[in-house]
Amino acid sequence: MAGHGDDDVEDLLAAWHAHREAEKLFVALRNPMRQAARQGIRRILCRDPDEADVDDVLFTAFKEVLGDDSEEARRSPLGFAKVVAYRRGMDRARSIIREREQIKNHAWELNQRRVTAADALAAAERERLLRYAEDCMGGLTVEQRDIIEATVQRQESLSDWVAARGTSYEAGRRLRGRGIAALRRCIEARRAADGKRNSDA
Amino acid sequence: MPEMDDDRVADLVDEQLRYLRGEGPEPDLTGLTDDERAHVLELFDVVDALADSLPASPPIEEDPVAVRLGLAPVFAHGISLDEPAGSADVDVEEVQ
Repeated sequence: MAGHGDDDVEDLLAAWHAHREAEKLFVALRNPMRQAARQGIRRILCRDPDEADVDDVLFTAFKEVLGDDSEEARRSPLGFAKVVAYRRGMDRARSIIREREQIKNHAWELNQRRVTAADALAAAERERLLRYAEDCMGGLTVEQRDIIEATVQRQESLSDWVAARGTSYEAGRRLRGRGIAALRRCIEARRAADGKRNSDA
Repeated sequence: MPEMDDDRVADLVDEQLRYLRGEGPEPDLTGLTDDERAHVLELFDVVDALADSLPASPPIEEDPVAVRLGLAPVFAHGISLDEPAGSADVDVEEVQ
């Protein structure tokens, strides 16, 4: 497995900073930014996000990232992009609530423009962790992989998942917990192996 | 690192997912030992990283956001990410 310390995304983003190749940047960022947008929307709305809203957020956030030349963006562009998408997702969700409630006063709109270096680095670390986790999914049992994909990565409820398979809610919860614990052990082992490989190189 | 029992792990993973999705409070880790808390936080990191990561984006030439950004023609003509893209047809001013 390729190491994840200095990944391809960071290389692409470095290239963008030199040449502003928007299409390369979009290819590199669209999946992590869509995930962050979904999380931001969901955090506020407490329901499955509409993918059209996710696309709206990605559009807005990507333009914001392209136009930003701050120190935080240059230090960790992937993390910066994820934080921006997450926050614009929250903005979008609040806007949906306002529209629903017909509130005209925008004074309380979220204004978290500033992305700190810590925000960006934490988001970039989550992206690296996701790549390790995806690599480790093959080591799970079929059922563990299925329940994690459905109820963690996608938006299927645990109740629906267990009902479709005729198992108990508690058994499903334990299956998912064991799967997450197995992923953590696998990630730990792969990180250690990558660290050793890097130190040997 | 100590392993916690399946039921406790299942509870905490469930609580963390609910928290991330705005459906519940942040999981309460009081009462755990330092080692247990560190273990649980590592599990939470995995949950946080995986949460809502699917569905993946559509094929790039069909991505509606690429179309809105004016990038779709670039992809329709095919660019290889294995090779330098040359000068971009679209720059930051165009998409803003």
